[in-house]
Amino acid sequence: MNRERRLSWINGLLLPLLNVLTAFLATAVVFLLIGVDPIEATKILIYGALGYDEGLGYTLYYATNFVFTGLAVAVAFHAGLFNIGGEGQAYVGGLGTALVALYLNPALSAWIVIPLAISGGLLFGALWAIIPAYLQAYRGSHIVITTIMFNFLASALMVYVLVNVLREVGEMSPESGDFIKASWLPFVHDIFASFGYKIAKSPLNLSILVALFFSGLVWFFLWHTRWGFAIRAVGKSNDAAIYGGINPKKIIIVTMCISGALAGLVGINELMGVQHRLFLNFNYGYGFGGIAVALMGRNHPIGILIAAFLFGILYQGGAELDFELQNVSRDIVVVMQGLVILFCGGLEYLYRPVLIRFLAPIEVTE
Amino acid sequence: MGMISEFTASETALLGYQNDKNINQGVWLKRASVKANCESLMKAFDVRPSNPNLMSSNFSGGNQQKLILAREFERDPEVLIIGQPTRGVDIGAIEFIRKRIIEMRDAGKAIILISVELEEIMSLSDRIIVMCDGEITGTVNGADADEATLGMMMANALETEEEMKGAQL
Repeated sequence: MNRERRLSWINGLLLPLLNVLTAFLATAVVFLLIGVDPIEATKILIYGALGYDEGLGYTLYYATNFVFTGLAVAVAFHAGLFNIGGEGQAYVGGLGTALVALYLNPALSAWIVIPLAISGGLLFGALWAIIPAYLQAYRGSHIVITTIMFNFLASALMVYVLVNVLREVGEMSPESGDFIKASWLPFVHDIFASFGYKIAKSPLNLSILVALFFSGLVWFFLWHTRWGFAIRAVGKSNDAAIYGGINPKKIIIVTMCISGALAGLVGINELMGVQHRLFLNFNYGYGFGGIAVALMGRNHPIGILIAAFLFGILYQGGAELDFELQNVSRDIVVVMQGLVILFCGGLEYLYRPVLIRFLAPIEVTE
Repeated sequence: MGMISEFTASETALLGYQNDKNINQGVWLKRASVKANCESLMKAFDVRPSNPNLMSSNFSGGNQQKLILAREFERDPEVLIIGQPTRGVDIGAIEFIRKRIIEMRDAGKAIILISVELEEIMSLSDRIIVMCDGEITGTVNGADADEATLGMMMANALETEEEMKGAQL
């Protein structure tokens, strides 16, 4: 194996693996500090997330959300943009989905309603991202600042919409009425049941296929189209991109729209798949989690699928930990998430010099 | 600047021409064609190592330069603006690049060569325009140019010198 190949293995596989491992070791230390046996905790976590069909269903259902937001962050990242606004884009995207799923004619076929509702999520997510994108491209306001602020705007907007517009007459809680039946994405356990296999009920629904489809689409788009090439060129070198006839301003707008649209798909899973109504904070934590997923997955769709699965395990396993152990609360997931961000993002290249020295030393050629 | 160091050689060879018809089929950017195109460019300009998948930053400065020149030269442009085409390139390649520039001139293309190497400018250019402080301070034919005159023009001191000569007479 030549050096070039070895380097790509180190960067692509070994490094993220070691980083995640370190994050888990650090978590083990945290467990020890709060007086929990880390091995016992790991057993509960793994069994709770993967050990039985209901747990696995929950894990995959959480993972679906992380795939959407992880892809959103990754696409922006390739253009050199740090989209912190996944949270808000997911939230407003959910509104787009809900508007279609609430007000379309109930007599329409699911084959029309579902694609339209998905498009609603894509469109509203993109619209919520286009303003920060414009401000970054033409006014120089930093995208990190504006997208963070837009998360709060989204939150306030959604409270207003749910309390004043979508809340049903006579209802107290700020949530919409039920979506029309045609917009409901089928549960995986129902599909299995229709083929005669009986598996436990879980919120896992067909959104997971949508997530896989969009992962493939993002991969194709970034590496096998001229637009993906342009996005990556802008991300790596603004000056070189201009030299190559690419307009970075346009790329910023387009990329953020794609990013926002992908984040807007969280509503597909949460609303069309599971709850069948719009309610407050359905997006909670997934937008920010997507940043960790993208960092861990090294902004590649395959990495993101793996990282999202891992985060699904953490979410579902964390809930089990909360349930099983007295002195562990669900917040342990946030701690783990933070450690993953620290070691996969902040200390990304911690082991790189050592690995390169031992596994891929610079070859001296004549 | 004409290169992105974190792109592979084949992507560097594509920069600026990503919208070309022969490598795009609908929305699909055909990687195989991009690679083949890079390979032929590498062959034409003897870029080493001739590996289109290698990261651009892993080539030596001279080979990066050759790849970029190959990208622009092989397009057969009508107008070519080149700055420092032989900087950091080894001697054999310098000769090769200069020969290619002359060939393009002979084919009737307009070439603007910008360089700090006077010797290069004098040996290649038909006409030399010297600028100083954003103004053109002198124009000479390449054949008539010598370093002293060019130096005077570069310092915008030509007229001063003539005035001084006049004063002496």
